[in-house]
Amino acid sequence: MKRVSLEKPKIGIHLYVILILVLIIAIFPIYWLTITSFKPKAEWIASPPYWFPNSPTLIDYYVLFFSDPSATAQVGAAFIAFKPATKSFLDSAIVAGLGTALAVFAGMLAAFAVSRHGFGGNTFLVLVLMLRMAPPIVAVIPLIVFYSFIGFTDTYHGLLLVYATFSMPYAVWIIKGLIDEVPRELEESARLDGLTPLQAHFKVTWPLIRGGVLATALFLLILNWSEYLFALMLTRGNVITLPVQMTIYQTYAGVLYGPQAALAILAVIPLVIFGIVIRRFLARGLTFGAVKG
Amino acid sequence: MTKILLEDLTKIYEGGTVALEDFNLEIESGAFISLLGPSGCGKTTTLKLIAGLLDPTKGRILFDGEDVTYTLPQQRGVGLVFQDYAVFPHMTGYENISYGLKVRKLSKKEIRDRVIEVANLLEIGDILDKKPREMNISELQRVSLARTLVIKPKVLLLDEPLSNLDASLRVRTRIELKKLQRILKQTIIYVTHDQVEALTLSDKVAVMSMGKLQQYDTPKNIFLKPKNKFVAGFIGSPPMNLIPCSVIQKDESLMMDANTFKIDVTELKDVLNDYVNKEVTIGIRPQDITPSLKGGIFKAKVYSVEHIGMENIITAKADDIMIKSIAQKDFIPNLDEELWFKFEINKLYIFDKEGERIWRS
Repeated sequence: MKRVSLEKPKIGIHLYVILILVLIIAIFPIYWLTITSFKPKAEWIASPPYWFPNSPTLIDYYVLFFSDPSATAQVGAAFIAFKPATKSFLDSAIVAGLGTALAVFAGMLAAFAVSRHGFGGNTFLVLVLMLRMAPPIVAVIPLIVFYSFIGFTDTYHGLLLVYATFSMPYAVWIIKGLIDEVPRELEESARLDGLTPLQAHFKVTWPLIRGGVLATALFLLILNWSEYLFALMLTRGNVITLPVQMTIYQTYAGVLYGPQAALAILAVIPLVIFGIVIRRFLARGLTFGAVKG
Repeated sequence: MTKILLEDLTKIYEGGTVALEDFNLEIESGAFISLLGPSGCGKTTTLKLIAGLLDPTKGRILFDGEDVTYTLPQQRGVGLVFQDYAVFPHMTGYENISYGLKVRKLSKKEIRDRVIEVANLLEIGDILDKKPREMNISELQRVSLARTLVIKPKVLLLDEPLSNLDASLRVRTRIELKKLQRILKQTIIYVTHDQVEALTLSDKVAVMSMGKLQQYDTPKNIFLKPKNKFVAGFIGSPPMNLIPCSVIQKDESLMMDANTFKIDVTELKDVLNDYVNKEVTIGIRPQDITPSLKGGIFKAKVYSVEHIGMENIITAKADDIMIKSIAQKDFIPNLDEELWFKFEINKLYIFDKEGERIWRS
């Protein structure tokens, strides 16, 4: 048997070189996105490429929010009036944010039902996951027809419900796993103290799985925030999410790489902030105070 | 001080597993009783039924004559200490212990007084500010016990509370539990698979197997007068030797034939008359079998010798049966050596084909 060394393993210089190379490969796209967003039109796809903006500008950001003909002219789309991107941030926040919140909340209730009350056995869980087995495109066409009947097309609640529905299977599965890890006895002990089963779920188990649930929420928010297919097919201009907004910079006058890069950079920021806010809940390491015999 | 009556209690889980079947038990007020049995015999299910965490499929639970079968757990006045302690990991010792009182909406002062009282009783006053992950196993257990005692339950249920402790701590905690019971004078139901714990702690022991009550009696009677083959084989260390035999009649004498050996049991004629030509099982405790170099009832080859301090456990094999016996510490036979074994007829236990005991001296 190999002896396990308690000493800190020494990291050789060659390992650092490899790590730095991997890091560069990983970070490069983000770097390229960032510099493109500060480049004037002439530098976007210049050959040979500029590795750093030669004459940095904020014009790409400016045209996102202001329909100023002289500015749009500078990015090569003089006669096009773009809808300001402000609305798309708001719309994405509403649709992806509430959709995710709904999925996580309903998913958590379902997870409690499955994990703690034996609801549906394994069949239910597989059925829930089956919702995600077919490619979403399969669901889109019937949804368009159905939504036009009930007037849900191009509405916030319409798209939000689709997001909640399609991200809930993940929520149920992940959160069920979290609940399974918390010993049932903790809730039983609280029941003897006078809590109802539902109170026991929320007062005893919830604080212990909170970190995991928030991480699940972040994961689903990322999926919903960048969702394109449903947003494209189920909205028409009343609701514009960020990925849809992104496409309006592909114009007859050419693709506006600069504004697209700028929008992408800005679109990432809310997610990063959410990630930082919930970071303190993500620290694991609670042993649940229980010892297995 | 509560008298508990379990009537025909049956629990069948979804999927058809029968955890408990027609279980009847009467627990005197203030008694310390144990539910003893191997894993999966229904002990913990019984405990959860009494606590109200499970609903029985059939049967009734009475506390002092009052039917509490479907009463909510918190209204039964029952405290349960879980095997894995179930201490809330996100709360300090103090918050853990006071939780039940807080839920019951007691005043801050009263909560404080009661927590301190119970903390003093269990000598955990100095760890009340610690989080569970900073506590050692003995402290965790005390917090778990304190959590339960602080609500002053009428009935205290303990689910294998010692199983996670190491041997020396287990003995110490056992003594403390015994002391605690003298102070609390509560009805205590103690679940364990460890016969030493059950026999030393309790006034009465309920031996369970496969969801059924095998015997409910004092520790002494459980050991000396096992009702059936299961109890006989389960209680005692090393366990009783159980040897299948048939009773045969030869002229006027009655013999017990175990293939390897025959013994004359003519003196038990009155008992065994109905069992002639039938299968029975004889039981004999290892302490009552004497190995020797010559002379005895049967011969067997030494299979293993275990030294346990003052004595040796000698396991010997004769044909297809294994016999355990106890010898003095200086009697150390070689492996595969042929030894003689003897025992006295009046030390025998005899069980019928169904396993019920039909005779002991």
